[in-house]
Amino acid sequence: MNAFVTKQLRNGSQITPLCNLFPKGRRQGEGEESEEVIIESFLICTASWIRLTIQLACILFAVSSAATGVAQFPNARQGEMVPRDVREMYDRGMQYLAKTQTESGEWTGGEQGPGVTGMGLMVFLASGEDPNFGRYSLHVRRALRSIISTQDAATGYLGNSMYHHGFGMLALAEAYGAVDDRNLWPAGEGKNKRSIGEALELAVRAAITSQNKNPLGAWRYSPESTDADTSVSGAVLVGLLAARNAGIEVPDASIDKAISYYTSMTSDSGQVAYSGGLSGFDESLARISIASLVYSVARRKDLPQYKATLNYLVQRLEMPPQQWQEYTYYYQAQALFQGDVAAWEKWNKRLVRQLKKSQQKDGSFTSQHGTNIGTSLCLLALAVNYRILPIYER
Amino acid sequence: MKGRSVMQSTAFQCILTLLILVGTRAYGESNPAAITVGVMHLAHGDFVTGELKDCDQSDRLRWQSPAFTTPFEFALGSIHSIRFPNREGLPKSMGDFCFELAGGDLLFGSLIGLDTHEAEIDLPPLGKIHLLRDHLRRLSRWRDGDSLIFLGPNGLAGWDESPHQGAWREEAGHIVTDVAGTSIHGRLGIPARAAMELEFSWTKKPNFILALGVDDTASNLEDAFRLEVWGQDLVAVLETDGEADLAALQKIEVGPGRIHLRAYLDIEHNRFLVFSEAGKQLADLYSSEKPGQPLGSGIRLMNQQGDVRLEKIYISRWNGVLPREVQQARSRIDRTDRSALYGEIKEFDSATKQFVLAAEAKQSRIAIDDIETIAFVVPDHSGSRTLRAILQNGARLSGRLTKVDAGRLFLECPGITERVGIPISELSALSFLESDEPIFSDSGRHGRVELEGIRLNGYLVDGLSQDNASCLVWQPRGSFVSSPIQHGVSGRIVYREPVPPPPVRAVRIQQRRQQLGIFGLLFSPPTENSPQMAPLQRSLHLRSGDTIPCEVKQIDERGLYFKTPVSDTTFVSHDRIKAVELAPSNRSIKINKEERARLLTLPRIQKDNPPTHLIRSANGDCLRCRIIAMDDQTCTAEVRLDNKQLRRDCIAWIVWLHDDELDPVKSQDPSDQASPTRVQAVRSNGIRLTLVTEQLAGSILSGTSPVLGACRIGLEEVDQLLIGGAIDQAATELAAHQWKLHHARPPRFVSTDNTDGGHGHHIPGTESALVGHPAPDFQLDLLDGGTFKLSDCKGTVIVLDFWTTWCGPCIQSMPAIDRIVREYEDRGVRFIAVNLQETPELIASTLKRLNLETTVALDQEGIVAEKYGATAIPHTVIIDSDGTIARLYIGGGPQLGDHLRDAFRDIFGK
Repeated sequence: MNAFVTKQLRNGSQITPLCNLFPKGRRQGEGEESEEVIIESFLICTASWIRLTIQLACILFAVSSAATGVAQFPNARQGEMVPRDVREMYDRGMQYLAKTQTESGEWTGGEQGPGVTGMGLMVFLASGEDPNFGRYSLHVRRALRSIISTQDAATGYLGNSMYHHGFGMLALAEAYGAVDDRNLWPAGEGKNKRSIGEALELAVRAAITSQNKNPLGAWRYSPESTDADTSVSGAVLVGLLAARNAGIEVPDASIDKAISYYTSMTSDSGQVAYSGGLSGFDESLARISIASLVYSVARRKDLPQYKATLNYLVQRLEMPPQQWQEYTYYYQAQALFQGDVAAWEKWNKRLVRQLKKSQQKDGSFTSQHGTNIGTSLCLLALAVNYRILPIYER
Repeated sequence: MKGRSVMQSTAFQCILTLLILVGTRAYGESNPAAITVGVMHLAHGDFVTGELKDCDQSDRLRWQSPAFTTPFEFALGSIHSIRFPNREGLPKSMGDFCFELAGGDLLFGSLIGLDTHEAEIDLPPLGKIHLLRDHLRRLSRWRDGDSLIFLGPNGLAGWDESPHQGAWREEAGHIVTDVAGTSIHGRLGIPARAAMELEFSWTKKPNFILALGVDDTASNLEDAFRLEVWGQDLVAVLETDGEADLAALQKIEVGPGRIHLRAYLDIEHNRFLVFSEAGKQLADLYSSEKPGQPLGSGIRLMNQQGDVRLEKIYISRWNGVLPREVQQARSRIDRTDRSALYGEIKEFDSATKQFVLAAEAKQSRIAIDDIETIAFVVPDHSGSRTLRAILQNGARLSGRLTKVDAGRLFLECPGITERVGIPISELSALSFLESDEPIFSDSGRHGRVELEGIRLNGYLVDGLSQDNASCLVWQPRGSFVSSPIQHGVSGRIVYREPVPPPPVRAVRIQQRRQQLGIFGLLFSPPTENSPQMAPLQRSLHLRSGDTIPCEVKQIDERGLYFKTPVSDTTFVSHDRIKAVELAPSNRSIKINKEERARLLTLPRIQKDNPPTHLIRSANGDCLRCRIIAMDDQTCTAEVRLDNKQLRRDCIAWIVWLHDDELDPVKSQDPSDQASPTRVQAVRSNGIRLTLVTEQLAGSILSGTSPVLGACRIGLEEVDQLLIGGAIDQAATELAAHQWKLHHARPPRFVSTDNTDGGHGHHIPGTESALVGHPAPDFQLDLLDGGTFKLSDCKGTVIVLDFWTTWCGPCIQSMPAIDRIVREYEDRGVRFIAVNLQETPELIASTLKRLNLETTVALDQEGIVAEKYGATAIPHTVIIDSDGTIARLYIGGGPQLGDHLRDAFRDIFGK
């Protein structure tokens, strides 16, 4: 679809996605499964990738500077200052995920589906390795094919629940523009052979449709649900915000409605309720982080609820999560990074120490959600150190 | 003599249990009944656990201790006694006769033959022997000891001392004391009608009370049958509330003496009779008052002054027949009909089982069954005896040691023709009768080795570490040879006892703290008015207990860099360090117990990120933190995730707080078993250094320190050498090692166990307000067709689990619930997994993947979930057979299975 050839930046200007900057000669022949060839040409490609990344960064800098006068320096997103402990942990974790990914692109052996696959995909995308020609480019493509394959062609729904839909959509948004999807699929006709952009747009539509049916303006497990919770809604809303940042049209009304849901669930103290206020305001760092993150990414730092949630988190940097530890780390890392970099730096020191102790010999992290999800969530919490994923952009 | 015996007795009691364990494991595996491991007590008070080894020299015993590689060879004159653990229960001595020998020995067995020259006796554990007639003092019908209740005292085993331990000692099986005001109690099982034979002796003048038929409380002596010394008399006393009866038994003179009595007790009829050994009645005490409750079945011997030795106590059931007075100067036969025949015992006719008695030129034959006792008049034979053996069956035999061979101890006994070989496994004790300790020439610094079950004075001789032996070769006092300590042994060698630290005066600095605030005070230099500083001590304390004088140069993420006069090594990693002293601290400022406990309590919020260091300022304040780096000027420390710069000259010392101190691993790897012996040298100035030892030569111990590398230690400078596991044990008692974090106590609502500090009993799953209320009724379609209606299930315990396929914790907990419910299926428990708002196809595929055949109800609208308050899943509800919600668990988790089982146990009553 031509609509996805160019991306609309958040400031309104447009940019050609990275894939279109590749020299023509590097493109693989249409209809061929080309991953082996890509890996063989890795050394040549790496130099080009670096050059192209710099080019892209320059363009980004130029475009956004022109538009707003504010931009990040390239090195702020390249993770040059990433501590050695983080790099080592991340590499070992990626090796684990690469080893355990199935041929068809998923991670099995526990909870599985497009959300779990999306988490694993984001780990590779966040690492700084070239997603098209780097050592994990094969795994990136497999994961993308898996996510898109599970998508309902008619509704755009990604898999088992709106959790999966949210994380799957987020992963598609993060891949969109970074992964060259012209050789994503093998040649020939086939079912569900959508591009990343098509799949993402469909997913966005599905999320908005579900939201429109929901009287609370948010989401719960089923796309047909009429109630909502702040955990599932976080997964979907962050996915929508990422899609919007990637240039997909997401109605402001949709974002506003969801944010209103969050403000209604946020107490003055900054605590965030779970579902319809039924379970009260218990101390869930995960939900507080989700709320703080969605306020940030939706650019609603003006809200008192944002300040309350961020303040709650900053005041409790040492507090360990009561449960769902890795899930909490995942959101807490982003919420703090978006809200208060100095606080994140302090918290991140603790996270690195903690994860260093808990990483298994095979590079994985165990969790209440299983090892695959635990590993992905822990690595994504660490990935803020690299600052490569667009969703981490401040 | 007194001191050493006290120590012997205490040592024996302390290690008896250990001994049995060691003996069973290490030495008795092939035959657990044959315990041959004992404790050798040396004449100068030392003791050593071990077992006898073969030895063909008569002046020594070879004694193999499990802590040493080769046997010691102790001179007989150096040994006081050897005790072997007694078998369970009272000793059972088998035999037709009890043979009393002239030297005080006692044997049980069968009489094979007797003539004017000798007696042939079969002794079950020893075999046949020939005993000269002039060594046989008495021969009593024994009948396998069927009327025997107790024969002893067999040393201190089974006796309880009071009020203080160690006042009584054992010698040759006797129990002895010369401590005034002490008593000893034995639960001997005195029957309601008892015959007792008692033998006491003393060396000066006795003043004791012997109470018969008492329990283990010392308060009821007055109500007991008593023998007491009243001034110059030994009296028998019987007292009741309204009556008292007493009789003088014999005069007691100053100086050595002994008494041999027979006492008869009729507890039911309040009668107490005492006879002399010769059968002369000395007392017949009686009370007409009806006796109260029996006091007990034991005896208590109380020494009021002087000394007393209980040599023999023989308790048997009394048939009501009293002894008759006899003529002790003549050989005689006491018959079962109470008549006595005097004359010369000519022989025993084994064919007819008759004794031939010659009296007044007439011979008569008396059948063995008619005989109770035969008493012979024999001269006193002290003979030549080096030791007395006490056997497990109560027999005693003394003589000269000839050898130990093939598990037997061989004695030449006066009056016995053969050399007697006593199986070591039959020994209860060996008591050594020679007191001349040979003089050994020695060299080396004298000290004392203390290992498990061992205390030996002596000195180290040169040695080299080998595969099975350390280089610590110990030469004990009294042994002809030395032996290396085994690898893996724990203990110490003491050259000089450590001096206890002086008391410290506490000074408060509240005022100054208020002026400067915590940080201001902590990192401000000491003032002129500060209390006087302790002497400068800059040292590094390692977790192993090592204390090394040093100057700290730097700390970084790897560890600590230092300079020490004792080594060229300059680095030690964090995991080995416990503390460093950087500058003099004001030691008079003491932290009280509460402050210290608060300082070391880790809040729950820091559970996953505990501080790694504790800094104490020169002024006495403390700060928990994580030290990032330190140089000669500044210390960078992370305090609650903030980095702070501290002036180094204000820091007195730093303690390292390690994760494993907070949650210690319970099972320690017994690495010492296989590795070479570690030794920690402790000097009087507090310096401690651990070496893996390699060699001892000329008082220089050399080896390798895990931190400092190759080291040498002069034994002359050392107060103690700690060995093996004792190093770690000693380290835990050092001051720096007391600084360990502990977790804050969790509040009741997050406590995972069932205790809440004694404020009540928390039962998981009962927190919800729905618990105890009737379960809301509902009807749902089932996945496999049909419907489920709760109200149709009265009489059945129902477990509902609200779940979805995308819920990881649900998927984890559902198989566990299914499995546990199946365990209780036959008691009427049913599991219904209530799925929320998912398609049957998705549910079916998930069940297939989980290999479950659970009944699934479809809550398509989420209405039932709402009724049961399922706002978070998994949400598991137990409904009892009356339809009441008994438990409600949210979140699944690994404890759910245990909680379900506990709940079912409550519901079903067990």
